[in-house]
Amino acid sequence: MKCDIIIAGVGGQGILSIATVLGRAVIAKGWRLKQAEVHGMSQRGGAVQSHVRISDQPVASDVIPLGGADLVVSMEPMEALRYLPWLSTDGWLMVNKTPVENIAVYPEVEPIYKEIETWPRNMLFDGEAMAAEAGSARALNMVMLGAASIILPLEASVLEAGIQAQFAPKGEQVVETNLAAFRAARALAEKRKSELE
Amino acid sequence: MRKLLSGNEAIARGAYEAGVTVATGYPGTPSTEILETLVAHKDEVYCEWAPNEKVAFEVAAGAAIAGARCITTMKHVGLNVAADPLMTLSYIGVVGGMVVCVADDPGQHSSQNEQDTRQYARFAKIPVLEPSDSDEARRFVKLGIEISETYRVPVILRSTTRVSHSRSLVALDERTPSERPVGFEKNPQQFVPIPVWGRKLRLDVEERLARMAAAASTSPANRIEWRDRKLGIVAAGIAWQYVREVWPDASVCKIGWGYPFPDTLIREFAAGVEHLLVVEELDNILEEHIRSLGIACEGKNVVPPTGELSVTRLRQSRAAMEGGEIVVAPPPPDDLPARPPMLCPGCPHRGIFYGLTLHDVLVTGDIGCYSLGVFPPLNRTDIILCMGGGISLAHGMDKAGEPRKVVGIVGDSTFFHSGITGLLDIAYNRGSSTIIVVDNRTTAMTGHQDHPGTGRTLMGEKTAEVSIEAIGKACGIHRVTTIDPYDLKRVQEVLNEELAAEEPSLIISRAPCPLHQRKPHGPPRIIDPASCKNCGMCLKLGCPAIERHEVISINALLCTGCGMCEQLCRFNAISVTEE
Repeated sequence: MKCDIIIAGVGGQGILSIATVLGRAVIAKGWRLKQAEVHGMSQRGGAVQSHVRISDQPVASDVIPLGGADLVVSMEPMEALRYLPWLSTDGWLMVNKTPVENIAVYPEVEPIYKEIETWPRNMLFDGEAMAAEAGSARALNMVMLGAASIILPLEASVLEAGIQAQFAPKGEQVVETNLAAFRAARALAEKRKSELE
Repeated sequence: MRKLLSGNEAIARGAYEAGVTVATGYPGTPSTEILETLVAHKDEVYCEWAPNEKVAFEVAAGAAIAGARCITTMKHVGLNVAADPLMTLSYIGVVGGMVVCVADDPGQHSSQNEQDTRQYARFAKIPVLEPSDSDEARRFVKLGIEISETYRVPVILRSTTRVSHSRSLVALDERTPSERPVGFEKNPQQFVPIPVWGRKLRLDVEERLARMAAAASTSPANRIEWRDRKLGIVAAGIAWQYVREVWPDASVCKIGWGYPFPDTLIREFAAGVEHLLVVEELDNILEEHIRSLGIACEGKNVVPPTGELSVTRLRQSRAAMEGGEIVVAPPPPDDLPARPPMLCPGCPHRGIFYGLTLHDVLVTGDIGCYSLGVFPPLNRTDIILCMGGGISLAHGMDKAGEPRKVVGIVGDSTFFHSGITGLLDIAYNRGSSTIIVVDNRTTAMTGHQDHPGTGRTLMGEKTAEVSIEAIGKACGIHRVTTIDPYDLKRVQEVLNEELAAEEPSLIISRAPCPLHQRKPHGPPRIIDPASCKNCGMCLKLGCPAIERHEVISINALLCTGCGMCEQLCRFNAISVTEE
């Protein structure tokens, strides 16, 4: 069993927390995991990517080869296109619709949506609204994890325990918000999956 | 217990478990987090940010000679700064174990060049260990301390960006303190390398190399994994991980202790396979050496000699070797706009760079956030060489007769790192450059570390706050001015005056980094569309919070309320948000 995931977005969107929750869940299962990202100058508003590789066997390379990802989760539409070459042809592309336009020449967003929707297994949705409904726009990262969870080889209960552990220091309310965000997106993704099948 | 740790966190853990009691370093991506993690054990491990890598190295060397176990950390270019003590510490040796952790940056994710630190190990004739993941990084620090104490030699631990910043599972052990009491034992023939004794030490270094090479061949850090014998691959450091994935059936000689070369092991491996390939990241050090043993091998003829290796790149190497069609994976789309790093909204450096756009000057820059002043619309960095170099380069261009005025820009941490000597040179040798220290009260680019000007140590103690103004005056600079970079009018007055001066001058632009402050400078600004003439004056600041679509607007989420744009607007269209 192996599952290779790329999480894409812009610095400050909470990508690392997704990887940390996955890490907790994988340790709880007794499996292996490697997670790679690049810090440095990219932290200043730049594009950020995190590679997460989960397996029940030892994982070799930290970085996923081109064409090898089972899933690309993008917190933002344009960044999703940047990582398409890494996605395996039967991989899933899950994208939050809200663009982060902190650059001078952000392209037209409609053609980006179209390109995302041509991918065989795609899910393009307003994750930010879903996070806000769950209680906080900051929970977008757990929304994206919730969507991703339908193809992860990890039970929802294990991931939820990871979320609980991750946010417990911030109080019960934050835990509840993040769990609600996770569950709402997971339900939507289940629906999307059955639509496509 | 297993924990998910980055390579840097694992190195810190390894140092803790190894019984290290002194840890020093200078911040530099990708090495910085090692000391930031280790300082959590400050009750048992003394930790410090030194003003530069040379000092950090020397402090650790002193501690090791006194008998303590220690670690010093830096990025690859930092070892250039520390090269002087490195070369001779190899001769006089250590008593307590000393690991020199150097993080290389193949692919130049956040560096001005690409260097292979293994060259320094060979140059200084000392061992180098190359971990391939977090748990190995932890174990190799402990192995490094052990080798260091056995052979009385400093040991380099070569990490890379990928090893330092990737997370993987680590098994934790207990701390094993050293049983050796700290206390220097006088021995001038060992510790004072005046030529008569230095010549003897020189011979000891060679003799020690031979003993260490024998040990490297039987060390658990190096091993042979026999599989199919048609192809054998010698793989060093993280390259081993990629090789496992690209050539799962090949026999592999995994190298974790790469120098002194484990010749016996390499010969045994080469004799057991039909065809030999060497896979190493950056330089062809192992390959060249293996050829010198009279063993035929492939290497950089198929493995890329520059940049970071990856499974994708090595699959192409494999295709090239097997003579099959090289399947080049489609590259990422190049028509997507990049998100380049830029000066943050509200960055105080912007006031200085904008001020300089109004003058026909050359700017010699330095290593830090202010290197971002090179991008449009500011375009106010012309040359960058190395840390501290911004000051001396300005002086050199000036003495060469460069017709334009030359301005050198350095940061506060950079000034303490190696800028002071350049300033001393300008004053001493009657230069006329204008030097600007953009003092944002922290080492910002690497994530906000303290330095001698911040009044706080890595251990969290209050300490003396060194004055840049007083240093400038003590160096012999008479014109020393301090300004608030957010006051654009005042910035311009001072630049007009100082750039016209015949003698050297020092401007200190002082305002704390807003990211470090973690609070906005003031209330966010808003543009009144009725008053805005769309002239674009505010856009000349290059502030990421100011966006031009049909009209110009300010992104309230990004704006930190620094007010520079408000000062530039001639139509009073920019003001404080009404709440």
